[in-house]
Amino acid sequence: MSPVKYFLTIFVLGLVGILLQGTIFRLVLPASLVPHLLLVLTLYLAFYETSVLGVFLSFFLGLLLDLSTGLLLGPWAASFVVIYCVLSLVSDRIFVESGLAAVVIAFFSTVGLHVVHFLLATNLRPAIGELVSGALLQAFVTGVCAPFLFLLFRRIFHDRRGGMRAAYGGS
Amino acid sequence: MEVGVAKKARIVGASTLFFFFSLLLTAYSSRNPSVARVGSVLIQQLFAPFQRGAAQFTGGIGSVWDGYFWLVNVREENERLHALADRLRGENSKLREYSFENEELREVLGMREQTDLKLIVGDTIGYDVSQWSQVITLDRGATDGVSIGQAAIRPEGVVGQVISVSNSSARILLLTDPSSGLDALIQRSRARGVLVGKGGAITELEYVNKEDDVQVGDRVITSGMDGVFPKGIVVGTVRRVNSKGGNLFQRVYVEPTVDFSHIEKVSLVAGENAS
Repeated sequence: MSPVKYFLTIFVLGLVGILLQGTIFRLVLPASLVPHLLLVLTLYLAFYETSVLGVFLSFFLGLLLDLSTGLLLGPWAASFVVIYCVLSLVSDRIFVESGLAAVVIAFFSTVGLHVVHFLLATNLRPAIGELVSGALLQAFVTGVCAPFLFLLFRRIFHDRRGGMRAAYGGS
Repeated sequence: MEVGVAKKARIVGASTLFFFFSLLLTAYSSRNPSVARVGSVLIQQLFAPFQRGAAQFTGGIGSVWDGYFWLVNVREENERLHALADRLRGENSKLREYSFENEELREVLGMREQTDLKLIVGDTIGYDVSQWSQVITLDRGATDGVSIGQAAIRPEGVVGQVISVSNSSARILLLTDPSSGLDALIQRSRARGVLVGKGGAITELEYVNKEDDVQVGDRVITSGMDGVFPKGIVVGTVRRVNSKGGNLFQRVYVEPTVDFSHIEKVSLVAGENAS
């Protein structure tokens, strides 16, 4: 897949993610039960697109989220970059093809994302109690959805991590 | 995939750059809200048709769910009446939906007749992607006369304020968002304060003097002093008062009258009717 086509695919997936998260799921579910689709896409990038391009794409996805809110530009972009950076540094030590690993990574990444965003958005501190329970619920739901979304993304991008299984001695 | 040391260093370097750039962007957009709005309007323009379609689609699914699937067990027990019951359930579900919508429209029309306000009525078609900010999207935009700063209300009370507008949709910052604030009064004692969202279900009326008479159960209304919300619209009810401590002000916690988890129709105040 050419870089332009790759970027456009991420862009379209980002828009679809926002549309699903902000409209279709939210019309039938409370916010805390909606999986963080854009974060899962960023996690996928951290494991399968470990490069400077990946950093840019994670920043871009965060910026899309900021734009969709329309209040402040930057907090989500910064949070996504932090999560991407941390995970890409350990990506060669985690076998994310295992469903359970994907669940655990997605759970802790969602919690981490909310923590970073919370630290950046100081005006949210009064509502910490409600936000923590909401974030934990969302982390759980995102974790459950992550393995399936990873499968979907691998199909879309034709496994850019090429040779991953071979590297781990798989068939 | 082995990530080499040089590659890791490049990733950390690029991440640091993008992180600080994001912080600069945050600082800049907090001082210049119009910057965030421009991008937001573009996204809104792009999403509005899909959101409208999705809202109609999920509304339809909800109606089918209510009218059909929950009654599967009943259907099994009444196989002979299966066909008839299905048809009646479908019709019943539709009628209930019409009745609910009718009731809501009556309330809005009632509100229209009771006030001299010029109102633009719209449906909610989208919510904020994250749970950290409380924003909804309405299916009315600049072509319908919506503009930034207009007050959003419902028959029960204040909903929020329009923060960005595209041609066919508008974003409303809800009363419960931490960036939201409005000038309000305790209806009984006329004590005044600024109602601020806290991100959760309860808001706080700030800057209420300790000497002011505020009691649990008091109704809070808009003061009209902020130039956005007309005077006298119900905002909420006082749920807790804390006047202890050495502060000049007491802490007054207010529960909004609007149920923000189920907002369908919203009216935007576009001015006052000429009498």
